[in-house]
Amino acid sequence: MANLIEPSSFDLIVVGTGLPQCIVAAAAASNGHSVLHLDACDFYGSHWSSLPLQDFSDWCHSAGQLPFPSPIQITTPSNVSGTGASEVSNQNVSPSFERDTAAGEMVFQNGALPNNGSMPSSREFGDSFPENSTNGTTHSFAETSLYGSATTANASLQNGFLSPEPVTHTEEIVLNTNNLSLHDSTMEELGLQSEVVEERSSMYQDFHIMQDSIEDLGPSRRYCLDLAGPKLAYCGGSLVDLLLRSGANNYLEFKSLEASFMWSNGVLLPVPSSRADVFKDRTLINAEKRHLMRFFKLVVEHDSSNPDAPQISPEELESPFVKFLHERQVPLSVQSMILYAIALSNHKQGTVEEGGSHIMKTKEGLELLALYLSSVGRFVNSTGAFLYPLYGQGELPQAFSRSAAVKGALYALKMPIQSFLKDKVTGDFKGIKVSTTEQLIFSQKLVVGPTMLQTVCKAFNSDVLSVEGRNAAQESGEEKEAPKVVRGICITDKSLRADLCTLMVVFPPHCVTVQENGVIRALQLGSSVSVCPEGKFLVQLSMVCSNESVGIEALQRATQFLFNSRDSSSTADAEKPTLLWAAFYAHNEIYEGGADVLILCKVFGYNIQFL
Amino acid sequence: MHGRPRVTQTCDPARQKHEEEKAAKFQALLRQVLHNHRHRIFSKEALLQNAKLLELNPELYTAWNYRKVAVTHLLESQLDEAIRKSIVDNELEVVERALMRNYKSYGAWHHRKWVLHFGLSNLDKEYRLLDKLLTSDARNFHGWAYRRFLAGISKATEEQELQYTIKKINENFSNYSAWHSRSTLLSKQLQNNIIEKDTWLKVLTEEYDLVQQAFFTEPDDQSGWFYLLWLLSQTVFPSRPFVTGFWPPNGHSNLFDPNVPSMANCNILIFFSLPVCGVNSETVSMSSSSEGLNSEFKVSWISITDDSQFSKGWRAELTDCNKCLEAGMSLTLNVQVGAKPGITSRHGPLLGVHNLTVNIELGSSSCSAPEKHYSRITWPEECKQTSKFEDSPNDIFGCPSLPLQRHLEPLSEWQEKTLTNQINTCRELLELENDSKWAMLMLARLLVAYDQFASSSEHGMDEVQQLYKRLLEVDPTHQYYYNEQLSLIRFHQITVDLHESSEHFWRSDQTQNLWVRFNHLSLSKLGYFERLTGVQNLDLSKNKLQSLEGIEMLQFLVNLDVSNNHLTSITALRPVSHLPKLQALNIKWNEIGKHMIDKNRYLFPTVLNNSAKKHLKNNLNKEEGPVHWEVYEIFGRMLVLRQLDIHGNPISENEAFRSNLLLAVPSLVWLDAENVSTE
Repeated sequence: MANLIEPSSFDLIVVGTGLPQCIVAAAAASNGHSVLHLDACDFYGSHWSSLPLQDFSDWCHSAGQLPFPSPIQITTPSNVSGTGASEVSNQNVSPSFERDTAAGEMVFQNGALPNNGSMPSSREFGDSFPENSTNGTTHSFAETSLYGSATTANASLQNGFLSPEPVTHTEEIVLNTNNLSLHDSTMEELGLQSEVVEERSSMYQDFHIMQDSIEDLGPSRRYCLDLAGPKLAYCGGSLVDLLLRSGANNYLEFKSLEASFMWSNGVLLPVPSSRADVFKDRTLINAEKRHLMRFFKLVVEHDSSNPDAPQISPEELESPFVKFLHERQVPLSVQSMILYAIALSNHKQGTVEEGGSHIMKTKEGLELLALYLSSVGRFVNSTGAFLYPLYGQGELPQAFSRSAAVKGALYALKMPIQSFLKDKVTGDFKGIKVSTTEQLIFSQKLVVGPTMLQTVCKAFNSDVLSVEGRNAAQESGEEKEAPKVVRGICITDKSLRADLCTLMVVFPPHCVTVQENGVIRALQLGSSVSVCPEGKFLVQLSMVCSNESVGIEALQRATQFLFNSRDSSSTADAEKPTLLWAAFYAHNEIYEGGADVLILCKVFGYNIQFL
Repeated sequence: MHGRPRVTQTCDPARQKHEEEKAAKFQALLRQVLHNHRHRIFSKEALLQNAKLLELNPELYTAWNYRKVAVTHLLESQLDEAIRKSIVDNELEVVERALMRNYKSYGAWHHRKWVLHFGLSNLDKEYRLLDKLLTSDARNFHGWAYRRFLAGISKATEEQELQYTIKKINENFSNYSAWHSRSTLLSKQLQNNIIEKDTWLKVLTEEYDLVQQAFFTEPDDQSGWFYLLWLLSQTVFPSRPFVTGFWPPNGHSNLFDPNVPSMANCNILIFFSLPVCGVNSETVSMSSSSEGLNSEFKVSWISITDDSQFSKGWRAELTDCNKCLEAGMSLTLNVQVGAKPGITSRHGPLLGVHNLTVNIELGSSSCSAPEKHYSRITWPEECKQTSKFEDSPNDIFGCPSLPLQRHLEPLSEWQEKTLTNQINTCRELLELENDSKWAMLMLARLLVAYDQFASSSEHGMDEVQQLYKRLLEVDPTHQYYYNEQLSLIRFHQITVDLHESSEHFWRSDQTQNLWVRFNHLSLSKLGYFERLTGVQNLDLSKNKLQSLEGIEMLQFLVNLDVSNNHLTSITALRPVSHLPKLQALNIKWNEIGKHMIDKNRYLFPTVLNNSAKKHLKNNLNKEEGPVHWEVYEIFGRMLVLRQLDIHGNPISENEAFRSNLLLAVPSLVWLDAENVSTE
């Protein structure tokens, strides 16, 4: 068999090329572990990918099924991967990848992330992580990778920890936790039992496509439509730090979001975020400007460890952020901008008495605001606080895959798996069986995406998982019903603002629908980030909601606020863009038995920021 | 470009060697280029060498000059337009490379402007380069100046340029270069009558609104405040001079007596709010209404300061009046200041026209010839007996008291409204930011301006004093300035109704001299001298004066006491040297000679200017030892000085200084109670 994977044993098997899986793969590979990264699809990114218009349309029509091609190909994600990459049996490159390779070579001529200067340089991946191994965390790689799925792994990422204990150490942990040594068992199937993989595919539902024909929208390949948009990265956020530390920043390019606006009674109010914005803003009166600037200063300078710095009392830090804003005389109009367009709260912020849930605490709000303010101007050539990757969010998993491949990880696309191998005696994970070649590949650790989580939970000892899950459930308090997110993607003929290309519009709660408490965000992208042909604009929308159909209706109403519809040319407002094509769908976050875990799952959740 | 720490250079032998090699190469190249320059070699190779040199060091102006000569030479012999253009383009490239090395090189920028004057270059390219520069260094004033230059030759509309400034200000309102460019463009529009008066007021109102955004966003940023200052100067024209006073006062007599030396000349003095030029018999007309003398007087006007061009005080000497007048007769002169336009300060022409009438009388004094024997005067402080002088102040001022005239046009409604608005805005900001020093300072200045210009003075000076006292606490770095402002206000309050109160008038019982005494008042700055014009004896002792600036306005001063102050150098006495009648000067117990560095020295264009040289030439051969040039420069002008008390200053111990002094002032009789007269 020409397509067999060599060798047949790895330290770690990663299934699915979503962003979290790719980050884990990159981290593991850079720490000298042997990694096999598989994806059933012929493109990278799984549910994180960006598809051409035709593919996206097909995806919508198939109600969110990722297309699995039949022939098996093994490929490495980059031709630069020669150094440590394992043998590649088939050099076929998938079509969607061709374009990306070209994109990957345009390394930061114009992007926002410099390789030098004030940023930590992206040195060898191998020594960019080691501080993690010494920080005495309670997590271990074995736990996270075997049981936790990519989502848990990412949760630990956010705690500043990423798996990299030296190999020997790892084995100790494996011995401790699993009470089994791989080398003691023989590689024969006798001791193993197989668990058939049932991949859950109905993550999406309620598809509404507003215009079937995509023929007059220009070449399909010029579009990159994000499956899980809209998402943005804070310039000063953890994703950017991770990119720089891993060296993945060499494989993609960013543009900063040019402006943010708040929807207010039919008008788009600019969100002031820097002193230049406050200076320019003419809707604020003198005193409001002063209060706002003073508040920004407090956010940046407050420091409990320094008695000379402005202080915020612990009681205040625990109080609702909205109350704090009010007490600090932040202008009313700016309060909601800070809550929904800067701190990016997804839910209505009010007092508990007003029936608000998901109340943001002052501490949390201040941290987000400080992150935002430090993001503005972090990079010389980026004016705003947010970044969006050129060619869509699908570039992110690819960038991490590439840095994993450079460090020796083996990549195989179009490689669905049939079953997991399980130790009959202990019930531990032993490896996988590839469905097409029926090849057995051994490993003691596994990382999977959310769609396979259910199988993994069922098949293997889920103690660790439940512990993680319960904690998270407790933290989130009384939350019974897991949130759902509705998404929309529109193609328009011109920008919402003639002088801008990329921008975000935030609809504060209740201004579109009173049935839901969620915030609607609309992210306009254009040809400047190469996600659509020139003269066309993409607008991605999302809202957290409890009822999908109400949510989708709200998104549709929001698009009516923003755009003229194609057929109602008589009532059209000449200023507004015309909506050419749109699709709306509900993105289901709920997994039976695993809902609590996914609360940890910030990456694939409803938040607008990537990490 | 701002806020970058300086890197300390470490001494590394390898590096030093490298530097030396570089220097040697540079020297060789320099010699070659200078050789080419001398022999007028303009070959391609020579020009290349020159370009290389300028790339290494763009500050070599000689090298730029060589290029100018070479380019002129090459262009002269070349008629082909394409080749001419390529020559010019090559120059622009050389400049560009030089600017890469140092984009603040004057030589390079000059050369670029010079090259553009051939009109062979593509200005769009210039704009593109400039945009790049001003993006990377938005506050580069060379860039901004060059932009204005380009706008001038490319005939870009002012509107475009204004748009550009607002774009830059929106990007970063701390960019004063952009604000400044904006003010320049707006002024230009007004001067060229592109904007009409009414529109102009609207434009200014909008600008006030714009700049408000800046200081409410960040009250500590000075760019906006400086722009506000400019706006205010466009609103109430304090940059335009006005007449602050006359001598003799309107309608009063000027007594002169050829027999008394101090009254031998008949003087008319005019004082202005700012230094002005153009005061002459054309701009200030004088006519007599007396019969038989209806002809216009021709008089010469002389600056009373040592700047013969721009001066705040001008004196006309009517030397031949005595020919026209007999004892007891009087002559009435009608004087019109601003009869013809021409009197102008550095910033604008005189405001208004002023008329006054002056009577000139020939005194019938029976005084004998000038006294030959000068007896030492006693200073008020030393007098055993002094008494308050309660009689008419006329005796002190030489004229009756007069209500101070306002020589100003009243503020227009718009001006008054604008001033009030700005006062309110500053108060609003101060309510939000109690400690904003800029808001306090601006409010204080606005209140003073309002008090000075407005018809009704509602705002008391008390508030201004409170503001400056608060500023002293908040911003001690600038305490000297704030103290000076407080001193000025205090002096204003003392002098505003001086004629009414006799508190400061004293009679020395011994000499019967009438003194005006402002001693023991912690004054650090003086002003309002037009209120003191006729004073002959002035006591300013025991204050905190560091400077006597403006005292030259007191042209009738005979005796001056500035003992126990903080004068730090002889050069600080410069204004005193312009008092033509000064006989006795007391500078005891100051700090002259205490400080190594003379802060006033910069006021003297060259240390040895012509007059000092003359003195030195005359005296150097006689005297050996160190030369105190300032002694000749300052005391050499005091031609009638008889008495100098200098005891208590470190410099008075210096023998060389004393001997210099005696040489410089031959008229001196008493030096620190010692009779030094040669007779």
